[in-house]
Parts: sequence; structure tokens; C-alpha cells
Amino acid sequence: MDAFDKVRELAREKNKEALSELPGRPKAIDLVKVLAAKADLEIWPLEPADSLLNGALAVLARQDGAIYHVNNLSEENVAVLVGHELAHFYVHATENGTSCSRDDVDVSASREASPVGADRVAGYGAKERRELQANVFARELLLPQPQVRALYFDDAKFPESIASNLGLPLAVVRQQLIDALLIPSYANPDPERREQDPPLDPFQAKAAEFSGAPLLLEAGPGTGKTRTLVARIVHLINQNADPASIVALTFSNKAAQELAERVSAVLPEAAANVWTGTFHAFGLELIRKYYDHPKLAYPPDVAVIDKSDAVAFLEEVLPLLPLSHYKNLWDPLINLKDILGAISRAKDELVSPAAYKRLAQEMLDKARDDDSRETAEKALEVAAVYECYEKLLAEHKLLDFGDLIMKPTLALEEDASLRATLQMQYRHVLVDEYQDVNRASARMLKALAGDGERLWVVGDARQSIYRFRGASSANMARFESDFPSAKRLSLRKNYRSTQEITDAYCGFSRSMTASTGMLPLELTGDRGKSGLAPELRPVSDEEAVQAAAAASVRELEKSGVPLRAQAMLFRSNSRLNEFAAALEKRGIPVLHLGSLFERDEIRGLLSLLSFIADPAGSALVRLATLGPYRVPLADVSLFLAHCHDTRTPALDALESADSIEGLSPAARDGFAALARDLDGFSLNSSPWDVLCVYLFERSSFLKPLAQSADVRDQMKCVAIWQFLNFVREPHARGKGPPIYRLLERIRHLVVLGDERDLRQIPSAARHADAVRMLTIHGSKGLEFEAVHVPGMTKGQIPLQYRGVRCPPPDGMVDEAGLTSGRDYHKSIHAAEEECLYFVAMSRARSQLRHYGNAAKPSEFVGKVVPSLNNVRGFPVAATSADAEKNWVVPVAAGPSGVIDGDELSRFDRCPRRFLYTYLLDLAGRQRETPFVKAHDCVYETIRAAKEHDKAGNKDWLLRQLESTWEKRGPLEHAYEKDYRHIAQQTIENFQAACEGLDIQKAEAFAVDLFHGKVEVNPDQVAKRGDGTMLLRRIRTGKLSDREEDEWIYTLYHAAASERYGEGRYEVEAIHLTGNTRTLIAPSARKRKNRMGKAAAAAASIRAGTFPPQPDSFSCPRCPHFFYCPSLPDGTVQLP
Amino acid sequence: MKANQMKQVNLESVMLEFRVEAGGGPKPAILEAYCRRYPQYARELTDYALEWLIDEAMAGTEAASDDVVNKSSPLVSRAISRLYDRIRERETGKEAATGLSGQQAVNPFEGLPFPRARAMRDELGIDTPLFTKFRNRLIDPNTVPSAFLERFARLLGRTMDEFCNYLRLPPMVHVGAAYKAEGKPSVTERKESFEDAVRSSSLGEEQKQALLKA
Repeated sequence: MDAFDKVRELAREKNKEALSELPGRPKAIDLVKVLAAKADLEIWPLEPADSLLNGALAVLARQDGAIYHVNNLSEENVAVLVGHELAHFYVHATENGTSCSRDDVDVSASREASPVGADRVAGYGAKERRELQANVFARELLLPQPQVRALYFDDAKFPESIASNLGLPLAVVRQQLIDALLIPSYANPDPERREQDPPLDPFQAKAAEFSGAPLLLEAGPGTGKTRTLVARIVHLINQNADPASIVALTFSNKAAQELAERVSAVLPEAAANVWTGTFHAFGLELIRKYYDHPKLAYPPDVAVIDKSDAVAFLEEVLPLLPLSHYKNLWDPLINLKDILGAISRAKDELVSPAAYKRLAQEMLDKARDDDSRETAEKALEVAAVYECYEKLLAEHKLLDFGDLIMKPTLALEEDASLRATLQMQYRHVLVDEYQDVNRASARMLKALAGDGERLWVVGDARQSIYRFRGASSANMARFESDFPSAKRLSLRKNYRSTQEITDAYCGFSRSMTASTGMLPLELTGDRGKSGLAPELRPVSDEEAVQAAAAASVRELEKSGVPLRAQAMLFRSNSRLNEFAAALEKRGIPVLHLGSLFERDEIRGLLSLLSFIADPAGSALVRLATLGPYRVPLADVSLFLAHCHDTRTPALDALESADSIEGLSPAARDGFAALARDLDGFSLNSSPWDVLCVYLFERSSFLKPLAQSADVRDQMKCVAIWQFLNFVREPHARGKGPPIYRLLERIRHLVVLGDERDLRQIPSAARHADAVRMLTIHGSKGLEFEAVHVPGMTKGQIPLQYRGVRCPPPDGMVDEAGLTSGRDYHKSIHAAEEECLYFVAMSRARSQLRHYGNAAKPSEFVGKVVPSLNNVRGFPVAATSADAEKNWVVPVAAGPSGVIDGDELSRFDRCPRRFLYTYLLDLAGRQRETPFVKAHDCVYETIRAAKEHDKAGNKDWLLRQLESTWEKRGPLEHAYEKDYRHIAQQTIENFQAACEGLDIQKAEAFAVDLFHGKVEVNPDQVAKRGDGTMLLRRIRTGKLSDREEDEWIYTLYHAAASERYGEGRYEVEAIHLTGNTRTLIAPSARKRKNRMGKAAAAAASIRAGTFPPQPDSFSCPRCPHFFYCPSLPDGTVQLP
Repeated sequence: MKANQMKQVNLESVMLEFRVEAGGGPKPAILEAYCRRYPQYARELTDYALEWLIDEAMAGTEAASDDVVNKSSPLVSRAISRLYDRIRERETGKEAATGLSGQQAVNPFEGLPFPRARAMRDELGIDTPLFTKFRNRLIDPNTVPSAFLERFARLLGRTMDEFCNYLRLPPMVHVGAAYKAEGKPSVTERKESFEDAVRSSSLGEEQKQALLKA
């Protein structure tokens, strides 16, 4: 049971206690009054300005026997406040008194803080943890989950009526309902930890009681590292060390919480005074505490932004910076992800923008070949963005994650008295997971710990798997040089695994790079030998790996290892998803959320939101495939066309759908149902309100789902729970209505890969009897009875090195011997892959099974000493040859039978997108960045020039741009002048490119592909002096390396060849921003090859085959992201 | 009274010892040793050491070597006078301990059980918040009618002078201060007037008039 479970249990007891003294159905305020009276606490409302409150909303004054609260809140909110203070009274009994501000009392806060964004950091000092507990308690006290379940299911009550009947705020009811319905409850949870801790073994005791010098404790897997850390803290306190002088720095919030709880279990009073948290949380605390220090001049409530927020800032400024390598103007997001990563890395190394620039410049000066030159130029561009980024942060008084360490560390390093103060206060510093501490944190640590006499750190260099997040594994090796006179100890007994498994990974460890500078790993398994050696099950191909793994899972289950005690570990998420699907296909339940925003049920909800906010209403395409809203494709098209033609937003048009001519009866019913369920929502509705009302009051799909025992349904519920909590967090940044902002943020998160944490199963759902599917990173710190590792094929484990997109400038990363940014990256990659495998193996308690392709085995297989047991004749679980999901839709040939060439060339990128965009005319709301608007104006001007034959006339062009700008430009934007200037420049380039050419009238060319006709409309056709015809494609961007590969040029060739004959024409690519003119002349073979592809595309279109081509970059930026790949029943009309 | 004096002497002598041993400037190792030896004074010792550091920073001098003990530099004498201020403050205004410091203070409200406090409150004709404001020294004694102060002091078993001296000390903030992210205290240094406190209380008009008139 975690701490929150205990708190909820106590709350329910108190609820029962109160109810036993109150007749009928009391209101929340009555409940708390009764309990307060029993606790001999008086409740006193006071003016908000009253000195007793001193700015707080509520105060528990234990010694006065009173709870004071502001008197200007409604009764239901007062009930919550008092409940919150009662929580402190019952649960945090060691405190003298508590003072709770608006930020503290947020009773609807989810008990697990958001795993994404700035809350990841901010939540977590000891006080914040206590406030979270008090919030959870108050909710459960006033409306226990069993009660709300009964009200909702048995009495069919809606949240609003529950709230008014019981005198509770609506937010509280909603949050309780969400928890009660969507978190599966388990009848027989496993006992998770032995309640009684056995005494420390000699190695642990020696480490816990050590004194007199800085200590580095090497703790291999399963050796009781956390126990020893807890014991260390307890030992210090028992020796009369002041708990307030102890600070314990952990790697994650979860670890900090666990540590605090475990110390509290032994020494409840003292534990509250020990500071536990992450380096980031500590840094934030320092910044907040010393906010008037000249180096840390931030407002005391300074906000922390995450990458997604940073993107929102930079997106609009990026096109204005003088970049060329990173200038993918159509979508700055692509490059921003890499650039932000590079900046984050720089902050991890405490490198300022000026220093970065200097290093990059040095690199450029030394460059002797094209490659190095390009790398250096890229680094210089990163420096430019970095500088701009820092200015924006300073202007808005914001911090990002890197700043949380960088700023306090720099302040500490420069200010001796600040350093002295902190060293005086925090005399005992303990660090967990020392191998994952990055260079910036290590410097902060040095400033904090001084000579380190009372410094105590524990880690395992062989489990260093966060190097790519900037962790510096060198820290472990150079501990003695960082803290002279340091000593080293190690833990030698492993309590987790059998001797066979321990021997296996100890054997592997001998060849690991990470073992350099460490004591040799020799662990005795406390559990002794089991007779089961770790295995390798070699198979013939990838499909067979899935079959073998699945069969193996069932085999173990039959032999007594339940599914929930088995885990399958992967190096990448994509593999994990494949295997999750493979196991499910074979009827094996898996505990797996996957990418939250790609799940069906979540996409359904996102489509709902999108439909409400997007006037074009394209998301109807998905909604029309769902239950009560089923509408045939033809009617969907009719409806959307109607919206477009009458300029009516889709949501509004829904009301009067009946008036649309030609709708089928089924359609009328479907639209009516949808209109009913969306009644009252509008563009400006809060997404949270919409979802709560929709899920709990309107739709009917949640109830059966919430009562199902099927693991897959339970996973859906957990996914929705995760999603709702995500939506609840406010998304302050960005412009536009709340729903729009939410959807944009989701797109950003997916592109940045920042939603990875949302894939983690919330701990509340951990008891499901299903196989755990985890990445190796996600498995850190956990253990399982049986572990399956299906990646023992060459290229999978270890993962092939793929280079780095924004290598740091040489000399930035100060690791001994390697100063080249690229070399550094390559070497840490190799070392880290070894560590990942080491971590994977060491998760297993009794069974460890590997699977791989026998023909191309992983090179690690040979390094496991003693060798893995090669198993023969093991079972495989075949699956019925299931029809590969076919993406064929019924199509009807159209009147003209002609496909547009530009459109056809988009088919290559993603056929599904082609279907939505060109055949179904689904626009999706345009992302209206100023950049997009500016370029729209340019294209519109060029188009008008083509139509009116004015391409050569500079004055005309600029006037046309002017008038277009007035209508469609990014007016009122902060950088409007700059964008206008760029647009003008682009138009001038266009005019220059047209100079001296005899421009022909615009016309269409026909090209005959075997499967259909294609119409090619060149952007410009001109005649040279010598009679050669010039077909030109005009783009505003920059010439790409693979420009020639685009089909459109081949189509131009085909068109021109037919009209003019070979040798009488040329095809040219004009790129206006790069100001280049390039002749495109692919070889005959290439042309043939591409025409073949184009023909195949045409054939697919005729046949109605439109498979999606997902990739993590393009999908989140596609307008059809939220509803892909749905399609209502019906026939698609071809042109 | 006698027990108080003994404890009082103890803190004073401990602080002096510390002051002498820490010589030219406090060091974490020395503070650590003292906190271990006298855990009940850990907070006072730590606060003192921290303030000492601040003083040094403000004076712009770095902690010199250990033989500063005998020099009567302004820094040293300031540190010593500061020391005595703190001792006095602690003694007279000590709030209920967190369990680590068990020192008895000359706080008339110290250890007052709820029933007694409530009885007192009723006798005085005030409500709990008002009572607490006196306890936390949030009310300026100069604004309180002397007859009321007299009655209050008597109920607490003190002379009026002793009670007023107590009330003049800095206000006490109602926080579990050690556990918060220790922000800058947002405490009001200014005290409230008796009239304001009475007017904003929950008492009836008649009772308010009665108090203000007395």
C-alpha cells in the first residue's frame, strides 16, 4: 500500500465515524464540524486580512485547539478547507501547526502529480507532499470512492446533483468519480513489501555507520541500496544529528517520496524535517528562497517551463533568426526539438550562450573538411538560438529545467557567503543514484558539500542509462579527485535474484566499459541457487521471436508464475508496441498504455474536442464511425461541404443538420444523437468541463467499460484517467481558445517526445494480472519474478548507433581524453547500451529468458559468462493467419478520371493523408503561425501573378503582396514588420527569377500513366531565347538535398517530353528563400523508376488502397492527426 | 522559576562555549559537534551560526583565523551582543517546542490546556481568535484598556508589567516554519490595535462595546 492508500483508508474511517453521529444524508460541512468537535478543535471563520491567517486560506493551530479559515468562501469550499486541515491534524501529527495557501489546498488535484511538464519538478518538497496527502484525504473524507460509485452506478446520479446534494464543490466530485471509476480496484493486491525489515547485513551496516570522510558506496542491483540509505539517515539522527541539517537528493520524485516514507516509518517526528527531493526540486527551492539574491533575481513564485512551452516561445521567432542549416521553415518544430536538446545539454554542462558560441567558433576556425565545417556551422546556429532563447526567458522571468540547476550552481560558485550559508545549514548531504548525476548537479553538489567530510553518496556505475540526458558516469570514477580523502565501500549481498542470475550479469559486467574505475562486481545471492539457468531461445526470424516469447509466457504461467509477475523488456517503444499487439493477438493480457494520444479511445475524445473547436469539423470523420453517431461517408461529405459553403462552424451547423438537403435517415439520426451529446458546448468551453460532462453525463460508453473485468478494458480506463488528469492541468501558454491550446500542446508534446512519461502505468493500476511491458529505462528500480528479453538480435540489443543531430561543439563536454563532440557521443552510446542490458538482466528474480534471431545474434550473447543456456525444442505460440488490416475502401471512378500532379506527388508521403486531404477535402484547422500566414501571402501573390501574367512586374507584385497582406497577413503580431520584410524579399527574389524570360500563358499538361490520367500544372512555363522551353516549380523554401527525388519533377519531365520532345525542354526548381535556381535532370533510369512509383500510386488510388504511413515526426503535424485512420462506411468519390 | 533559570543558564553557556570555540568564524564541523552534544538547542545554534555568517558577509570581511577570539573587533563585539539578544528573545518569547528543544520559557501561555484557555476566554468575554492574538503577541498592548490587561494578567498568574513585556515582543507567526520551503517570512511586523481586533471578531455588538469601554 502506498502512502496515499493509507491516507484514503484513514479518511474512510473518519467518514464512517462522522456519519455514525449524523442522521440522514448530511452535507460535507456537517461532516467536518462533527469531526472537528470530536478532535476538540474549534472552527473559526476570519476576515481574509486577519493577522491570524497571515495570508493563508486556512490554518490549523494545534496549540489553540482551532482551525481558522477565510470567511469569504462558499460553504462547500469551507468544508474542503476544514477537511484539508483535519488531514494535517490526523496525518501529520508531528507538526505544530500548518498554514495552507491557495496553492496548497487544491482538493481536486490528482493524487499523482502530472508526469509531464513543469509540475514534474515543482511538486516535490516535503511540504508539497504533505499538502498532496491532505488533498487526497479531504476528498476521500468528504466523498469516499465507494459512496460516489454507488451514487453514480446504483442511483444514476450526475456529478452536479451529487455536488449540490452533499454540499461539495463540483471539482471534488468529478475528481473522486474519475478515481473511483477509472482506477481498477483489485480484490487481492499482492503484498508488496515485507513489513518487518530484517537487520542490516555487515556491508550495509558498515556503510550506514561510516563517518570521518566522504563516502562513495557502490551498490549493485538488488543489494538493498535504499534500505542502506534509509539506515544511514536513521543512524545520523540516532547519533543526534539535527534532522533539519540533512538533505537527501534523489533522481526522481518517486524515489524521494519513497525515501521520505521509509524514514518516516522509523522516525516519524524527525523525518518531516529531513529534506528529500531531486536536484531540480532543490535548485528550485534555492531560487525561491534566495530570490532577492542578485544572481537569482526571480519573483518568488517564478514559473518553470518545459520544452513544449519553450517551443511555443521560439516558434514565432525562429524564422527570423539568421539560420540556414536549421532552417526548415515550413516546420520549425523539427529543428526545434534537436536545438532545444542541444541547449539543454549545454545547460547540463553549465555552458552559457557566449561560451557555446566561442567553442563553436573555435571549431569552425579549426575545421579542415566539409563535414567538420558543417558541424561547426550547425553549432554556431544553435548558439544563436540559445542566445535568443535566454533573452526571452529573462524577459518573461521564466526558468526552464536546466536553469534549476545551472542558476543556483553558478550563484553558489561565485558567492562565497551564499555557499558558506548553505554548507552551514545542510551539513549532511546524501545522494542517491550518483551515476546519474550530471555535471551541473555534480558542481552544485561540490558547492553544497564543500570538502565533503559528511558527504555520503550511493550509486552503480553499471546502471548509468541516462547519459543521453546529460548524466555523467565519470562522476563515479572521479569521486576521489572531486573529494580528496574519500573512501569507497561496496555492498556484496544480492537479495533479489538467484545465484545463477547474479552470476550471469556479474560475468557480463567484467567486459563493461562502465566497470572501469569501479570495484569488481562480486555478489553472493542471498537466495542461493535455484537450478534454473538464464536461457537463450534462438529462433529463425522476427515473427518467430514473438511466437516464442508468447509461448514462454504461458509456459511460466502454467508453472506457477502469474502474468503480473512477468515482465518483457525492450530497448525501444516501437518494439514494445509490436510485442504488446502480438501478445494480445494470442490472447495474453498485457499491462501497456503505449503512446497515450494514439490510443483509440483517446483519439475518440480528441476528435470530439477537435470537432467542437475546429469550424471545419473534419474530426466528424472519426465521430461518424462511433456507435450512436454512425453516419455514412456520403452524408459526412455533404455535411462538411455545407459547412464550408455556408461558412457555418460545424458545431453550429449540427443544430440545424436536418435542414441540409439530401441527408439519409441514418444520417439524420446520427447527427441528432451527436447534437444532443454536445449540447451546450462551444469553441470557448474548457476541455476539462467538456470531457467531464460528456463522459459522466452524456455518453454511455464509460459505464460498461468501468465495470468490466477484462484487462484491455481496464487499460482503456487507465488511459482515460491518465488523459483526464493531463487535461486538467492548465495550459497557460499560447494563444487561442482553451481547446485549441490543448490540442496544440498535445501536438508539441508528441513531436518533442515529451509525452513518454504519460505512457507509464500509474501506480494505482499496478495490480492487474497482465504481463508488464516496459522499456529497459522504464524498468529501472523494479524487479520481477520472470523477465523476458526479446531483443537479442544484432542491431536491437545493443541498439545500433544512429548519430546525433546536434552534436555539441568540441570541448564542451569535459570527459577525459575525448573532446570531439561526435566521438564523445559515439563512445557513450556504446557504454550505455551495455548498461541497459545489465539493467535488464538484473531485474529478474528467478527466471531470465532471452529470445533472438539465431542467424544474427546480438554480440552481447557471447559476453554473458557463464554462458546462457541455449534451449532447444521450446514451444511457440502460432497465431491464426490474421488478415493484415487492409486499408482498402470502396471507390467510385469520377467524371474526369484525372488526378492532379501536385496532389499525386503527396501520395508518396502518406496515402492516408492523401485520402483525407485530396479525396475527402478535409482541411483541418490551419496552424496559423505568422510564418504560415506570411508564406500564404507570398503564394497567393505568385498565383495571382500567374493568373494575370504579371510575373515580371516588380511594382505590381509588391502592390499585390501589400493588398494580400492586409487581408491574410500576420497583422498585429509582434514581429509583423520582420515577416513582412521577409515576404517582400521573397517576392523580389521571385521577380528576379522571372527577369529576362518569355513567360508563357499558364496551361495544364496531360500525362498518361497506365492506371489513369494525371494533370500537371507547372508553376511557370517560359521560353528561352534559343527556343528551349523551361518548366519551373516555384517554392518559397530552400532546396533540399533530395529535391530530385520528388515525383513532381518526374511528372514535369513526362509532361514536357510529351509536349515538346526530349532535348527541347528543361525542368527547373526555384527556391525563393534560398534564392536558388536548380536544373533538375534525373537520369533516364531514375525517371523510369519514379514514373513507375507514380503509376503504382495511381493504381492504389483506383483500387482504393490508402494505408497510413505513420512516423513520429509527421503524424503530430498532420491536420488529420486526431482522427486518423478512421473512415465512415461508404464509397469514396475519385476525381 | 528556578528550573527556568537553570535552563536559561544552560543555553547561555552553551552559546558562549560555541562562540569561543568557533573563534573567528563558525564552521559546519563545529556547529555539527555542538548540535550533537546539545540537540535540544540545535535550532538556536544553527540560527545563530547563520546570522553570524550574514553579519560577516555584510561587514565584507571573511572569517579570519582562530585567534580572533581575543581581538575586540567590532565584528566580535557585535556577535557577542547579538548572542545575548537572542538568548533574551528565546527565553521570553519561546513558542511551544517541536519536541527537540524542551526549554521552558517565560511564556505565560505555555502549556495551557484547552479547557483552562477556554474558561479564561469566556471569563474575559472574548472569542478564541482574540485570545490567540494575545497569545501570539499580535495586539499592541498600548491600545488595550488597562483594566482588561489587569484582569488577563491575573488570570494568567502574572503581574501586568510581566504580561505587557511579553506582549511587546515581536509577533509570532503561526507556521510550521521549519517544514515550509523556507520563504522569506511574510509576517506582519506591525501589531494590530485592540479596537480593530475586537471589531473584526465574532462577538456581539454589546460585548464589543463592553470590551472597548472598559
